[in-house]
Amino acid sequence: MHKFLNALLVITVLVSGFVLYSLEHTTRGLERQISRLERGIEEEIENTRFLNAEWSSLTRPDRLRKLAEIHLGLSTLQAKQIVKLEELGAHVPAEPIVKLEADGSDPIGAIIDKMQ
Amino acid sequence: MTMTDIPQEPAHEDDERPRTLGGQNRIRLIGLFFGVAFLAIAGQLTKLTLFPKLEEERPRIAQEDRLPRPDIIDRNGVLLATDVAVASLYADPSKIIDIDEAIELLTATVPDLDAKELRRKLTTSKRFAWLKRQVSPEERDAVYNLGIPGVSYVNERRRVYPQGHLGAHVVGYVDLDTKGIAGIEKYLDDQGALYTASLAEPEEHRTAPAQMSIDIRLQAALADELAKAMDKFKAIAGGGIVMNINTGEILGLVSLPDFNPNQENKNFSKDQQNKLTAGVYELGSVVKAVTFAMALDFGTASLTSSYDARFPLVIGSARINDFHAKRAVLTVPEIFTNSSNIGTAKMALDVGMERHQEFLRRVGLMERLQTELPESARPLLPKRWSKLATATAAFGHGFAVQPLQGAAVVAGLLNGGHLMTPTLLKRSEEDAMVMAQAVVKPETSEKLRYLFRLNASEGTASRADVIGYRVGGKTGTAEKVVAGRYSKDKRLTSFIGAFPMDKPKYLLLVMLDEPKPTPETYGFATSGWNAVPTAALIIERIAPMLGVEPVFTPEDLEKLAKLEKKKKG
Repeated sequence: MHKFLNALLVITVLVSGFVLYSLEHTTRGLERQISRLERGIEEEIENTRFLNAEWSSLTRPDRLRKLAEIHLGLSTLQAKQIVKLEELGAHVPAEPIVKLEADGSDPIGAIIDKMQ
Repeated sequence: MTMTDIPQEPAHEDDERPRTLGGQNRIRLIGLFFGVAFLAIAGQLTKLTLFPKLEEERPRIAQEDRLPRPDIIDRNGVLLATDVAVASLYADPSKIIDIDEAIELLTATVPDLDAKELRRKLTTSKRFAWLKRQVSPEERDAVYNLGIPGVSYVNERRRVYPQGHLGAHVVGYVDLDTKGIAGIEKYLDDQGALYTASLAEPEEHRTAPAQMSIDIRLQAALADELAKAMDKFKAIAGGGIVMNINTGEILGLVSLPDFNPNQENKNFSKDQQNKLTAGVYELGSVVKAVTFAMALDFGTASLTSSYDARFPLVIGSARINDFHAKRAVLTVPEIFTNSSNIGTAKMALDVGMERHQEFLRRVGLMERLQTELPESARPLLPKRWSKLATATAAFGHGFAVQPLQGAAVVAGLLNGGHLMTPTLLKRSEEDAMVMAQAVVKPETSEKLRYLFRLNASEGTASRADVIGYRVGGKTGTAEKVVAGRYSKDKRLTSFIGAFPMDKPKYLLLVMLDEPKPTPETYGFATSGWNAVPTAALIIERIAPMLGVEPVFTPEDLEKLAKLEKKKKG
C-alpha cells in the first residue's frame, strides 16, 4: 500500500514537473512574441509619425504651388472662372474641345468599360 | 524483574506518556519545519516560473522624464508640429571586448566620429557613454549591424515643424529640452504641464492634437504675396493678418522676415520677431476708422454732415494738414475716401476729449491685447491728453498699437459692434459671441461698412477692389518716427479691409515697412500704391479658399471687359 502510494507520488511529481516546464516554455515563447509584437507596434507608430511629418512637409502649400506652376501650368484662380451650378449650361461649349472618340481612342471610356 | 517492574508500571506509564508525547512533538516540529521550507521553495519556484524577469538588466540611461507634447494641427488638420523619434548611439564600455576593433569599425561607419575622442570615451570605467546624438536611421542601422557588443542606440524624441517657416510665428518653437519658448508652443506650456500632457496620451498611440485656428494655405498665400511685395517695393518688413470677424479666429498671421523653427540654433535676430503682436506701429489713417465709428456712434456726425477742410487746422503752434489736400468742404464719406486729416481731427474734436478717451478705452486700445501668443506689446499712447493729442490721435498720429490689435478693433466695428479678443485656437461663432463685448450700435457698424466699401470702389483703396469679391477697406500711410521726429521718406503703409462687404466675414490687414517708390508707382510710396495692390493679390488668392462666392454686377462685367481689352491691347 505504502509502496504503491509512494510510486504514485513519484510519478505525479515527474509528470507535474514535466507539465510545468513545458507550460513555462510555451509561456516564455508567447511572452517573447508579445514583446516582439509590442516593439513592432511601437516601431510602426514611430514610422507613422515620421511619415506624417514627411507628408506634411512634402505637401506644403508653397511647394505645391511651385510644382503646379512649373509642371501643370496653373495660375491663381480668377473670380470670373467660378461659375454657379445653374449657370453651368451656358459655359459648356457646343462641341467638345478634345474629340477623343473621333480618333478612336477613349482612355477614360475604356477604364469605365473595364470596370463594368 | 517483572515482579519489580509491575508495581512500577503505572509510574512508568505515567513517565512514558509525556516522553512519547514529547518525541512525537519533536517529529511534528521537524515535519512542520520541513513543510514550511518546502512550501517556501515551491512558492519561490512558482514565482520564478510564472513571473520571470522579462528583460535582462540593461545599463540605466540617465534621461529626464519629458512630458509628451501634443501634435499641433491647423484648422483643416494639416500637421504643423510633431515629435519624431531619432536614434542616439551609446556604448557600455565595460561590455566592449576589443576596444581597438570597435573604434576602427565605428569610425569607418560613422565618418564624423573622432577616433581619439572615441577612445577617451570607451576607456573610462563608466558603464555609459554617448557616441553620437540624433543620428539618421541609415547610420543607426549601419552601426547596429556592426554587432559590436556594448554598442546600442536609444530612440529620443525631437520636435519637428514640417511646414517650416510657414507657421513660424504662430506655432512658435521649443528649446532643446522640448520646452515651449515661443508662440503656441509656449502657450501650451503656460497652461501647465498637465494640460499639455493631457492632450497627448501617455501611450502616445492616439494623441489628441492641439488644433489652431490658422489655415496653412492662407499662411502660404500671405507669405508668398508679402515676400513678392517686399521684394518689389524694397520694404524692410511686412506683415499680414486674415481674421474671421464673426468668431475672432486668426486664420492667417504672417510676419516677414520670418525664420525656420527647425534650425538647430534658435538665436533669431530682432527683425525676425513677430511684428504684428510684439511690435507697436502707428497705423496712421487705419485708425480713422475708429474715429469715424466713434463720431457716428455718439451721433456728433452723420453720413450727411460735412466739415470744412479748406484750411489747415491750427491748434496752438501745430498745424494739421492733409496729404491728399482737396481744399474743400467735405462730407463725412468724402473725408473717409480722401483720408482727410483735417476733417477727421475736427470730427474727433466734436466728440470731445473725454468721450474720445472713453471710446478708445471701450474698444480696448488703451490696454495691451493678450492673445495666446506670449509675444505682445503694450500700446504707446499720448502721455498727456490735450486738444492736440485728441486731434492727432484721431488720424493715428502719436498713437501706436500692435497691428493685430488694430485688426481686432476694426473687426469688432465691422461685425455689428461685437468686440472680441482674437484667438489662435479654433472657436465657434456661439462661443465668440458669448465673450464678445458690444462697443458700437449695429447701425454704426452698418454705416462703417458702407464707408469701407465706398472707399474701395472709388476712394484711396480702389486698387484693392478685386472685382467680384466686394472688397471694402481703409488705407494708412504713417511717417515713421526716426530719432524723435517724423521722417518724410520712411513710411509704414498699411491696408485694412474686409470682404465680401455685403455681409463681411473676413478681414485682411496688410502692412509694409519702409516701401520705396518704384517707376511703376510714378514715384509714390503711399499705401495706395503698395499695400493696397498687395492686398488685392492676396484677396484674389485667398477668397476662393475661404469659399467666398464671387458676384458680378453689370458694372463689374463692364469693368472686367475693359480690363481684358487693356491686357490684349
